[in-house]
Amino acid sequence: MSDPVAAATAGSGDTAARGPILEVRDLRVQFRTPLGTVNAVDGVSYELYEDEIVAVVGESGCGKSATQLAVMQLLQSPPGRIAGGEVIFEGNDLLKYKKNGPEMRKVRGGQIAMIFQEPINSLNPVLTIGDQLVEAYQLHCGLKGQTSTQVAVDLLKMVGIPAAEKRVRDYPHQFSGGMCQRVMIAMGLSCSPRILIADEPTTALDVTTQAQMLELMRKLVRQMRASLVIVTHNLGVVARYVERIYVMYAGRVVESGSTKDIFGNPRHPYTLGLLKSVPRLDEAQGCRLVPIEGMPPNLIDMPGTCAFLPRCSYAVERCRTDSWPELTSVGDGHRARCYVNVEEVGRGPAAC
Amino acid sequence: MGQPPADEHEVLRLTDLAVHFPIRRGVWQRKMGIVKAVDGVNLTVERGETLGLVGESGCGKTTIGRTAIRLYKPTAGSVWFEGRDISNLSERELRPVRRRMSLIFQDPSGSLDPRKSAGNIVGAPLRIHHLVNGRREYNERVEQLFGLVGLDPSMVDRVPHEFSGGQRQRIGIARALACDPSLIICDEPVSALDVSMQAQIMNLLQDLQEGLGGLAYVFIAHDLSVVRHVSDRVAVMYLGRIVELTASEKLYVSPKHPYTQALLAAVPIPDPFVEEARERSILEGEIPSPLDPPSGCTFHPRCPQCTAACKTQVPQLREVADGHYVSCLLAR
Amino acid sequence: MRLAARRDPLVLAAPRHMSTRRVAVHLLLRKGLFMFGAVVIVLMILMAVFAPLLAPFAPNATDMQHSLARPSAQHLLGTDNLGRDTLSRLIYGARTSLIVGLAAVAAAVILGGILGTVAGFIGGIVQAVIMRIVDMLMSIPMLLLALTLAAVLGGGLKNVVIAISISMVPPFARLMAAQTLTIKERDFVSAQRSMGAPRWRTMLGTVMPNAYPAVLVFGTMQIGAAILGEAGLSYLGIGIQPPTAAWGAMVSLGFPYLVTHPWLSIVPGVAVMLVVFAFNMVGDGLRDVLDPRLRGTQ
Repeated sequence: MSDPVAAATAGSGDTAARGPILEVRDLRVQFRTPLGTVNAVDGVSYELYEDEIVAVVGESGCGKSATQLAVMQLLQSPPGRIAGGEVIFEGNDLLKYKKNGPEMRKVRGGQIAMIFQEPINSLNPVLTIGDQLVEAYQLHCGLKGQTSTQVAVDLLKMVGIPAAEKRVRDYPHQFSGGMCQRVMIAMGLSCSPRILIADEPTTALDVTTQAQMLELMRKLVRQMRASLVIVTHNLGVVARYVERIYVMYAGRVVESGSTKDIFGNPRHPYTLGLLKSVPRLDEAQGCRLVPIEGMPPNLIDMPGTCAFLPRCSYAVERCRTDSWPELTSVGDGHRARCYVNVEEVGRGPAAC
Repeated sequence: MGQPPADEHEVLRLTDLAVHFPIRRGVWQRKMGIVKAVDGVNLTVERGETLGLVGESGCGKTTIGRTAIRLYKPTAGSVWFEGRDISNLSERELRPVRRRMSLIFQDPSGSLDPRKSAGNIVGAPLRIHHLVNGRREYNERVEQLFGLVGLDPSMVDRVPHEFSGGQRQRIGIARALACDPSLIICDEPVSALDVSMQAQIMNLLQDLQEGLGGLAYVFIAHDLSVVRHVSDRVAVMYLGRIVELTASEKLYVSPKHPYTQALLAAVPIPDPFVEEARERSILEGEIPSPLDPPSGCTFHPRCPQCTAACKTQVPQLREVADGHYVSCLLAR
Repeated sequence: MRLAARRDPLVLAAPRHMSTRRVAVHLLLRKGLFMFGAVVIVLMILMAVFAPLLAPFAPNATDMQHSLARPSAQHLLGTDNLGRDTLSRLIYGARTSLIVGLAAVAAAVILGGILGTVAGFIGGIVQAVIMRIVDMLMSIPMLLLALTLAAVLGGGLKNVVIAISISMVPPFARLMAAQTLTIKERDFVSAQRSMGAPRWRTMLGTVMPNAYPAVLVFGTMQIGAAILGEAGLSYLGIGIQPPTAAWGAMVSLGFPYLVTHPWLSIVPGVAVMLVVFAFNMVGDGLRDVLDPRLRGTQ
């Protein structure tokens, strides 16, 4: 593979497979803290198909980042540990591989790549951008021997950095936040992985840079026919770029479905609460936000009942007595983890 | 020097405000360059209103907020607060002024002294300005402030890290209210909070303004949806200058500056049906470094409507419609 | 105020978390080395305080008839060349070490702390001048300083304390200056200014209390170093006037008899080693426990 850009944009030869390319089943992740064990991810299952953009949405502490780190086996081993579940990728359970064994290293970066929130922290400040790109390229594609700097230049061009030949010799501190994130995208996509996971990729960026970044990511994954998983708490980003959504709360998926289903017909009270509490640029003046009352749950010592119960205004008697429900189907491809399955209309632009 | 305020309904007035920071390098701390964080800003805030300040990194909105409360000293221009020019007052002279104006910080953890109890933090302004007589009155007032922001008064003795992020921000708000100020500068008060907490705090701020009558806010944020929601008027900033200033409703409906238009286009709306139908024009380029701003109109390298004149002439903020100010050579 | 109090029911119902102190103690109790160090220090303090009750003999009572006795039921650690009971001298030696260690570090903390805080808080030329003075102090070796003081002012415990504490002022001054500079930039210090608090009030009431955990950790470990310094000085015969019992001096006095009566030197030497080790372990444990809290966030 001497030309990463050509290889990347050529795409895979096969037509869409019928099954999912990544299947996470009942994943559990725990963190040990002085105050007790935190069940950060408490039985999460989801699927990812070819050539699609999916979002995992939730607030801090819901387990969305821990899930992705577990898939990549990047968890800090104390205090975190994978307590159960399977991650099936191309027929193999990734969790069965040793964390730093050859099989996992081949998958990580080469087949499933990940980019993180603070791009400047992901780059080594004492190496040039070109060196780091070449190194990533070699590691991800499993190459040995010399690789020319032209690879780095091509990668920078792929992500739209002007004057790539000159900038390849710059250091990370000479790049702005947006450009660093582009470099991370280039590294992630350098060997056309099948999946790119982006963990809060735009939270640290300005609004206009955010828009550029997301457009770029979408364009590139579409060209490569790769799948993109965006982990975020920004519902606007989700509405604009994403096809399917998984909403997480307290370590579990509470609702999943297509973007239009989730926004147009939210069934779980948490999803509904989020939609009603977010200000919209196009709303009528004088609208009042309806916040979700209360506080995020304490993940140590969780009761067996629904974790959202203390904050839920739709709870019925059953919610207090029975344990947390399973994910049940509420529509075509639309599932929710609730006994009530509310049927309120999500907000439209004119309504408050 | 700057005109005195037009009337007593004005709480804050910034006149030709400029705040420059020198960059010093080397053993002898020689001046190598200047960052013009704020470069010629004119703004007024009326009693009881909420003025939103929005912009991206390097636009100077945080600097304006901190200069208004005189954490920074203006390099040029003036700051008038409640009819008084506070631009050059000494720290001691500023003390009575700082009773009437307070600041809410972005980071709820960093803005609270981790070693003090919540009650101590909230009551600090009362002690500094000797506003209460005796322990009993002090405790009552602190409990009242707790109640105002929705915190359980029995938690006065807990330290900040025993509270959640949203609760810590409430402590910061209670502290800002302690002296019954007429203006609160809110510097990104919800940016560091979770989505479900943001709405709680935004509602709280609005309720407080309604209930306390005459309380004005300068609401600084980078999230245009948030700013538009809480503000009566919005000022959009770019590289230290105001590019557009108008009522928040009008900003969305008829933005006149190309940067404002680009900013609005870049903000995603949490509604896939609306998003599908939207125009997607992406603003190219990056925000220039404040050390080396472009000539003429600082936005011209990225502006889709740039003309030859824009590269040399610096546009001034002019009123182009009733209460609608734009800083663009092409605006009519 | 006209606004009625909001009652957010879930905010009211929040359970009390374990307080910082309890968590800290909980963590410390689990650390074996810390506990070992703490026990040793407590024993040492008890030894020093209750020396008259614990020591079987007066530490300076000579008894030429029983000089260089081997350990026996009467003299558990034997006697030295002047017939003085080694065990009693060991116990009283704890006093010397403890006094010097605590006094020297206390003086250094106060002096260094003030210098560092003022330098860090005021900044500018004041900071430059103070830090250059501190740099100069740092270039004076402690041994040389002690010798000079002993020559000029005469011997005695007091001069040992002075010499050691002066040589410890620079590290504390620099620590406090660095802490102050960091803490000064935090938002909660800006908040004080924005509320109109006078500078001195902010320095004393806000900055210093936040710097003290670092000083506590560092100071604890410096006590061990001070005790070691005292042992070294008294070994060389500087400062401690005979016949005062001091561990370093005991090591030195026992040297000629190292082959025949090794315990005379080894026992006080081991005592110094244990105590220094204990202070280091305690300091380590404190640092591990206080560090995340130092940053203020979880």
